[in-house]
Amino acid sequence: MTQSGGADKAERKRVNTPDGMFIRDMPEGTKLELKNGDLVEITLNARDGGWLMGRVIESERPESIGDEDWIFFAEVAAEIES
Amino acid sequence: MVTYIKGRGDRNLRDLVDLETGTVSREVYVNEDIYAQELEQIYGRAWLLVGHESQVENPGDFVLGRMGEEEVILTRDRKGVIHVFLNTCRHRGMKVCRYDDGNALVFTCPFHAWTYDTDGRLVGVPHHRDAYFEELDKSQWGLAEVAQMCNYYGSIWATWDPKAPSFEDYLGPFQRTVRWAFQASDGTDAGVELYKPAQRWRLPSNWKFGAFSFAGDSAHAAMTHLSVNAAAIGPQGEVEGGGRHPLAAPFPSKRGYMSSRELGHVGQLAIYEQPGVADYRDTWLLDPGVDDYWRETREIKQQRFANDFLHMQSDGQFHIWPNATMSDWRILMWHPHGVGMTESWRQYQVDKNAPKHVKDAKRRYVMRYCGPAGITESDDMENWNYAHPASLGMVAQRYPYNFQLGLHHNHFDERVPGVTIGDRGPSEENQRARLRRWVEFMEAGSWDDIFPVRKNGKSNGRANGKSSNGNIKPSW
Repeated sequence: MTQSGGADKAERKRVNTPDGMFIRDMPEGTKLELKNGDLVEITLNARDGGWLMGRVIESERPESIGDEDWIFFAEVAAEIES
Repeated sequence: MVTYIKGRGDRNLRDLVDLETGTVSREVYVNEDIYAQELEQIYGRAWLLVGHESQVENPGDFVLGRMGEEEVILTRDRKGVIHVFLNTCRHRGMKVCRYDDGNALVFTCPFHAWTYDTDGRLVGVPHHRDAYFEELDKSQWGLAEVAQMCNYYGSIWATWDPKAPSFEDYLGPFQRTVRWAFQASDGTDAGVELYKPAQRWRLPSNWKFGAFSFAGDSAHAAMTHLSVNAAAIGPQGEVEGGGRHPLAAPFPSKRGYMSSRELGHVGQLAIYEQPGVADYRDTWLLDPGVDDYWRETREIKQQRFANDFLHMQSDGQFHIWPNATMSDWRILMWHPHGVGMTESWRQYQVDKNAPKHVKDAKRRYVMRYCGPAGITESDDMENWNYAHPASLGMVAQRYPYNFQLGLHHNHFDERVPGVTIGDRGPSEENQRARLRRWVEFMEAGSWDDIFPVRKNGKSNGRANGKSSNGNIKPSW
């Protein structure tokens, strides 16, 4: 169950899954599903293949929605089609 | 406080540096224990030149620099604030930045991927939630930042010592000299940028050979630079017999070796007999159009300073203790890299607003003069690179270096308070001033011992008060 009013986690269309440096060239605005189930949108990409900044847009922890934090590539489960 | 040389008996540093007789033991330049003390006593304490704001113009820009043997990152964060950080990860020590310069959102350690914002905060730690259980306090593990930093008319200086005096106090009577070095040719403050990138190379000699020679050893030039003078590398070509320096119009002045014995800063500078600035003399005879620019900016500078005496503000090169030599066209940094190795950096100022053909002409000139392939500096390196190994031997170390040129033939001039002047021919006073400060730094337990300066000294007879530790505060 999601708390944001957005698409249910099961309905997310995964278009890419983690494979090494796949996040390095992702543009800002790309949506990602994290391994903890959160859906985030990239707001900054360090373009070092390791880290990007993401804002939480769906989460089972409603207090975290809207939070921005650095995300390590290993925390990413999949890219989600916008 | 470390006063005695480890492993060399009970000899005191002052036994090795005798400035009354002008003799200095070769051990000062080649002894590994002394060198180890220098890193802590001098480079861990002094204000050091790190770079220039033009190297980090935009948020996220960074360039690597050095402070002593250690590498630092000069960067501008996303809010526009300039920082200087030690280039090492707080987790396991890996360099977090392996590019000489660039632009970055974060510095990510390639070892375990700890990542730091450009303001130094640790912002990313893999497994922070699931394996560190959010118990790691990231706020305590940011990049190590210098204790103090100063942007002085565009030049960036830093120190690891929180108790160091302000940079302005550190400069003393050389404040206006450093300010001048970063003025545009029309006299605009902070009006220059640096050519990119810096030239860097290693010399197999102790750092003091270069750092204590420049701005104080003109006696070497006649012999050492005989060939480069004949090569006529100056911008005027072979006009007036060639030479390596640009042509300049005369202006009434008294030139000399000017030093702050108390602070260790020195220069080959001038006291002017009249206000104003000399006329421009065409010298870029091989580069059409270049003189037009310099002539126009000189006229602006003449108007700006028509009523000012620019003592110590032009006409030569100078040296800021301990390892930065500069003038209005070049910066020479002498970084220690082991007792017998110097990492030498060269950077060159040019007017931000100069047209391209002027910048190109100046770049070509400075590169044939300075740096690893510069003809003039190649002469100097030849001397130091042989002097160092020739001083290593057990027998060689029985014979001290001689620093007696102009010894006890100095005077003062009220127009430049706090400055000792040697102007009766070549003098090694500027080298002695640095060696004097060297001893004080090496013996000092803290900044309280060396600033305000000259405990129980006379400070050129111009003292205006005593600090709580009994030292005398000069009146410049």
